[in-house]
Amino acid sequence: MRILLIIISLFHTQILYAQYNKIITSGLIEYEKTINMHAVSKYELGANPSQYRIQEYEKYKQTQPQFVKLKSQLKFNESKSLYSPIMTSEKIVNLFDNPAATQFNIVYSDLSKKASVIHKKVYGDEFLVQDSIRKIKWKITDESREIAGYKCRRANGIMLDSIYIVAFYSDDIWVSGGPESFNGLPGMILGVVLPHENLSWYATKVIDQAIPENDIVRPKGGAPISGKQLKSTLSEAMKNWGALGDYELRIFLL
Amino acid sequence: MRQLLLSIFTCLFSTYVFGQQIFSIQGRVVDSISNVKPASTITILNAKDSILVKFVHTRLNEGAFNITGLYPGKFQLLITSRDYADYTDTFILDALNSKQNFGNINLKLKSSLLKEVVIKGNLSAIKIKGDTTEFNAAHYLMQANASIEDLVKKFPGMQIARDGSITFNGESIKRVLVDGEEFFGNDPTLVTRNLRADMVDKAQVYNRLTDQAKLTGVDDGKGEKVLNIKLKEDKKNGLFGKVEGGLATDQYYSGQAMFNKFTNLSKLSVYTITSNDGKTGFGYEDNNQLGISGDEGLLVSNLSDDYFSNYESYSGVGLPSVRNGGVHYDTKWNEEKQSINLNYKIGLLSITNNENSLLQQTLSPQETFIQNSDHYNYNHVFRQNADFVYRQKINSMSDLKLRFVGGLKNIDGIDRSVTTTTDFENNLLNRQYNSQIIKGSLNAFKAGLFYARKFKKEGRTISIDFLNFYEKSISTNNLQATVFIAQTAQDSITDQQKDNNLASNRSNLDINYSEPLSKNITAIINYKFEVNQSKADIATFNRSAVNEYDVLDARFSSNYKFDQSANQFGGLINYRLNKITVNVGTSLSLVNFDQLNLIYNTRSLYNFTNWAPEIKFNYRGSGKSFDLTYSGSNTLPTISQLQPLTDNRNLLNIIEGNPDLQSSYRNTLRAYYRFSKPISDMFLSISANYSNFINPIITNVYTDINEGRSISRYINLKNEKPEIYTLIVNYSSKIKKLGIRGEFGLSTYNYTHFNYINTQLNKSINNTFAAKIGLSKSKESKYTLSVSAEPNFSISKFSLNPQNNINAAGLNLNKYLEIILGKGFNFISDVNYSYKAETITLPAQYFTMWNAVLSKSFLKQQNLKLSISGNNLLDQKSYTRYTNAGVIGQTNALTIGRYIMCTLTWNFTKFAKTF
Repeated sequence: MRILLIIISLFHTQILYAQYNKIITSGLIEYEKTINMHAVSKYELGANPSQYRIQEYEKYKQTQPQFVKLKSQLKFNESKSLYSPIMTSEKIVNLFDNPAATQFNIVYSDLSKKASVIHKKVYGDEFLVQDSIRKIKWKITDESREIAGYKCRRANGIMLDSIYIVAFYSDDIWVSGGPESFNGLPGMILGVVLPHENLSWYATKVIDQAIPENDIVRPKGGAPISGKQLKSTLSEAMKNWGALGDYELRIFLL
Repeated sequence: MRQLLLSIFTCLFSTYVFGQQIFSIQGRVVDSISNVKPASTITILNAKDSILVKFVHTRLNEGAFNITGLYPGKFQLLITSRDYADYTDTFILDALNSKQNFGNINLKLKSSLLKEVVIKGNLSAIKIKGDTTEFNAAHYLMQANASIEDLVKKFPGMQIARDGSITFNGESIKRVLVDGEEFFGNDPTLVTRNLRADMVDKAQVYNRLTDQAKLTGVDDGKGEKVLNIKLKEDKKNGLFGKVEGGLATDQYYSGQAMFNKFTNLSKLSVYTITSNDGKTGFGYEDNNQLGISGDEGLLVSNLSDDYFSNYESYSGVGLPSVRNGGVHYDTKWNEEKQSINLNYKIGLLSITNNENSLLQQTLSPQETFIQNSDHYNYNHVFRQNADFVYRQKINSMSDLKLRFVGGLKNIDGIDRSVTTTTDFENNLLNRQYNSQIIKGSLNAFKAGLFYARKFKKEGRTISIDFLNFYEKSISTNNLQATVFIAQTAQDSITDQQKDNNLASNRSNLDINYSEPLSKNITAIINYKFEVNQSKADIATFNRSAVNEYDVLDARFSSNYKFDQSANQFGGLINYRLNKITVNVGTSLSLVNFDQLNLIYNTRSLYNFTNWAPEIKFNYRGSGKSFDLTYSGSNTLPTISQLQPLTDNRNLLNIIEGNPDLQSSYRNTLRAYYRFSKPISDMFLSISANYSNFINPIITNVYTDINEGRSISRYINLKNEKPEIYTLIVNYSSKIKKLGIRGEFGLSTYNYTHFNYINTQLNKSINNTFAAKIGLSKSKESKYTLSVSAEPNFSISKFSLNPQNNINAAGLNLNKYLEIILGKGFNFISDVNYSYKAETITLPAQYFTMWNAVLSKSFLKQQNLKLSISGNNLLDQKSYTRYTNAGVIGQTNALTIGRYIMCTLTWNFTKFAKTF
């Protein structure tokens, strides 16, 4: 009897461990993008706004909510991921058509081949950007917080030469991906903050499930273009927009 | 055939690889308790800036990892796994160590580790890695503008005394470093009281090894405990400091200013202090900076002019006044391969003291007399110290370090006393008036060079340490004394001037070579050579008819030249297996000592042989350590024991030399056990020591019963062995339910020693037993209360004068209360009470010291503080008492009494914003 008990208890701890050490390698994550509309709308005023536009902006601030939230999802398995917006009928008041308040990317990443395909809408134009996955220089910190029930560690990063990123990743999800094109950490990115752009993405739900290979498909449509070409095309188009152009170029390249 | 082909291939391939080395690490993650290999994330960061380099994952029960494609540099390994505590370690890859094998890495379940800590945020509060205990400052909520001292006080196991000295877990911390760099030498308060708590990222306590031990990896036991303050990244660039001024009743004052400018690669600090309140600017352990009285190495200790050592520091006796200033600068360049560290200090210290001492001297029950003396003295010292260290990493194999220390010291002093000796029936035996006026100056210079080199074979190293030390002192003493002996009813008058001229030049060469004999065994061979040339010229002049001191008094004049040299050969075998280290070593040194009397042209030659064996056993487990050491060593007689310079400064006590003295031998056995669970704030340490002395050098005092004058001499004791044994147990823990931290200690100190009193041998046995109970409780931003009680009992037995035997109890009580009253108000009250029971010969003694402070902080960042403090509120005076076989004594000195001080403090900061 006693032996039986011991065996059972051994078995029990084994089960417990299996549960404790549960590692996620495929599933679905829902993210919420939060935009500080009051702050981002100001960028759209450009360098020397007219008195009228300032008044318009002031009125906007008084009448409209400061924060707007947009939903998106990430399907992933060990080697591939697909990030796409979830469209809702809810309308937001986007005063100056700020691209930061829209979701213009569908991001397909092949993590094993380190390649990505991004379907990008820039106003009327549609591009299919083929590039290597984005390189981000990460600094790992000791700080951590919990997101969607997962303990995440903070990393600070720099991408596209100058954009400062704060990201939170979980060691328990062994896929080096994240929302949009954010990637490269030792676990899944469940939170991203671009403090200077007043934007953030946070996971609201993590579902651990098997994702069939054919469920993660490359986006289609749009003019095929490389990342480098896209940048030169856009900067050529926006070069006369002044400070506003610099801002929108930065956002569209995210 | 296939095999052959394959091996040729591999050979070819490996030569190819050699030109283009592969840098990699490997290891295996395990949980040895449950025998599971947890699924883990292994991350490699750049040690310098935490930039992510590489990562891999290991699945459940896979464990092993192997990461290739790295490059030379210093890295941090971070292993994380859900439900387990994070594991970190640093490692270096270079041409020599292109592969690092971590072996089994044992992860610990958080549930077993973090049973009790309340974690704010998500950082682990304490990490233990080998000998290092690391505290995460983010865990401790601090008041605005709190100092590092306030922060360190809150770490478990850490204690800070009133003078700022720090002990961790019962071991005293000798130095405080900032980001691994020396900061103002060895006055820790210049770091702990002047840098701000909010700048600290982490604080680490570890044993800093000597340069040699770092090189060979064999701990030579000469390291010291240090506290290293790691600054936050964003606080490494900026300006900060403070200005403080206080005025008090009875003309006490205190003022200080400190300014710091830090950048990533350099630190500049300037400070100045002026005060007479006995609290600020009296940094302890200042004196060894120059090595003036420091390590004498293998040789017979140098003769030194003891006037200078009397002027070192303030010990709480007398009224002090201080003016100090200093500059610190350190910087690194060339990818941190080269660095300098510079400290300069300048200061004035003066102390005025009046004391009365009462001494009862017993030769036998029938022969007792009483000596009563009143003493006035004024000491003034002006000193400067400069210390410069240059370090260069020549390449990945060799290092160079240069060190220069220079110092100047000028002293001025007056010493006056009246001493009367009476017999038991109060009949006068003698009376002495003594007045001395002293002036002197001392220069010292030290230069050192340390070169270390590693070889391709791991563990093979060589190091060369060369040190030259020069010191010269000149002093003049104007001595006027009148001794009246009642029996002869005669006054003898001394009116002299003494010119003292001392100089010494010492060189040391120390060469160490280490060679690994096998994977676990390393041998170290050591050779030391020391040479010391010194001279001591003391000329005493009597006053002539023309009122000049120009008549040489040959009785009290001497001129000696000392030549010493020593050769030491040593060897050590170090054996290491997992957690166990065993060292077995010995050294033999031959000392030649040649003393030349230049006045009489006589010569004395002495030869000493020193033999110092040592056996050391260490066990280092996680949270547990045990050390057992046996060592033996010779103690050489000092020059003044062999042949003192004739001295008539105190005519009531004359010291005679004994040129036949031999060295004595000391055997020591030491055991030390530590057990700690820092997370639940529990520490236990037990240390036991035993020493005996063979052929010890003891005092032989002959006192003339009729005149009351003494003659002292040193002799070797042949048949008896003095002994010392001590046992100290300390336990501290948290009482969870009450939120109280408790400390309990038991200690006993026992020694037996011998001395001759008027040709009769006396044996003294002393036993002291003490216990300590301390409790403290604190509530964040509300209050801190700590109380402690230390009862003790001491027994002393004297074979010669049993009527002096002591059986006495004592008690010390301490209470510290800090209340945060809100709105920037803060109150501190600190009471110390001590009691010694009466003995047959002395009455009971009570003393209570009560200090209190009320402060209020202003401004948005609370960086302006006004405080009112009361010192020694009950205005009590302390006195010291002592008893031994021949003497019972008591001294009352002038101390700082009650005063009320009003202080204004302004803290300023400006840090650059960085990524």
